[in-house]
Amino acid sequence: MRRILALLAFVGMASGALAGPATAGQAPSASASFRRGTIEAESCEGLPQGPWEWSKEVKVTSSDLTMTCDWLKVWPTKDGRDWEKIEATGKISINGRYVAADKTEWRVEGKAEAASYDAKTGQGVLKGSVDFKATNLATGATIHVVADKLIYDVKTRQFRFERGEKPVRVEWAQPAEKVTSPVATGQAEAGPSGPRGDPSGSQSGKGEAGK
Amino acid sequence: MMPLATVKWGLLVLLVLVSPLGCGGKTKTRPPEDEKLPTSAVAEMQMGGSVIRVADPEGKWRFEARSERIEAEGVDGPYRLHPAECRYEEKGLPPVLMRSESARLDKGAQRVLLTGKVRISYETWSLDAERVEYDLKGGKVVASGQTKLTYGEGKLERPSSGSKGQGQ
Repeated sequence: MRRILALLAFVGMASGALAGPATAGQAPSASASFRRGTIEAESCEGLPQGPWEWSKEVKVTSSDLTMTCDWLKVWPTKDGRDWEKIEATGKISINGRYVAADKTEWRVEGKAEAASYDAKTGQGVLKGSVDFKATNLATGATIHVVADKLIYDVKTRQFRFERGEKPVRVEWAQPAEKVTSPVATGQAEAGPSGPRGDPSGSQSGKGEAGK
Repeated sequence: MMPLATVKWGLLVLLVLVSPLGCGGKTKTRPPEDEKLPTSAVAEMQMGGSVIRVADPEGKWRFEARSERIEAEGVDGPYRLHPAECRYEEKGLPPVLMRSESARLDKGAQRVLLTGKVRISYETWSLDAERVEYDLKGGKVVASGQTKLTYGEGKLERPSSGSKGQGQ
């Protein structure tokens, strides 16, 4: 179960990277959050000091992750080093390689209808038909989460999946040995400690966690 | 007696020689530099050589464009620059640097339209686009045509604390 939570925690971290560069699984700090990347789109407008708005075929490339969407708006911090607020809508897709805090490498694929990040609340949110897949590049372990909403809290380093009245659906698998795991119950919430070490027992299964 | 043609040529040469010295300038002298001109609703504009300067009457911003070739459609512009290197400064904020293959500066509208391989740089970001319209009065940038913003590069060049208080 701990490994499942760790995998779920990773998903939360990855979504934080999507919603806002400052939330990519790291505690916000001036030096760590100063990122590099590019934002491409058909058109954009804004003031030099922000906010900036992009529309039509927006593509954000930061480190190893790429996000595409229909519309994006960012509010830089006053010192220009970080993002204060981010909003994105329309066919959000995230792809790429992610290195977790414990240096474990993952391939991630995520989809949602909207994404946002607010430095004041310290939350990164994915909303609308959230579909997230992550594959551990070392072990081949995979996790697939379907939900309506994914919230990652930077301060508490916790995430939460929500699916309205329906339970959150979680699928996970490890290639070596297949053991059906008990169905997860309750709210899917855990600290993003990240996957640790090589699991002693491989497992696969499906889980549905209600609110 | 001198022939009429010789007299005419002599007068012409005399006119050419004395005109650069200010002949005839007594009735239309330029106002001193420090004399305050009446402020109008539009920005004051100066044009000297290959440089055009536009400044906000209230001193909130100033714009400077340099080019190898400047064409003016009329006395008040618009001005066409080929190519263009521009600098926009809003009081209390770092400068915005612009470069493009060509530009069109509209004095009345206080707008500059940059076209062709446009690059705008500001502190830690730079924007590449095919077309950028810059509203000098509001400082707003509108870019189109495969825009690409690169962030997290360059240097932070914030003005000293003594120049705060504008443009936020």
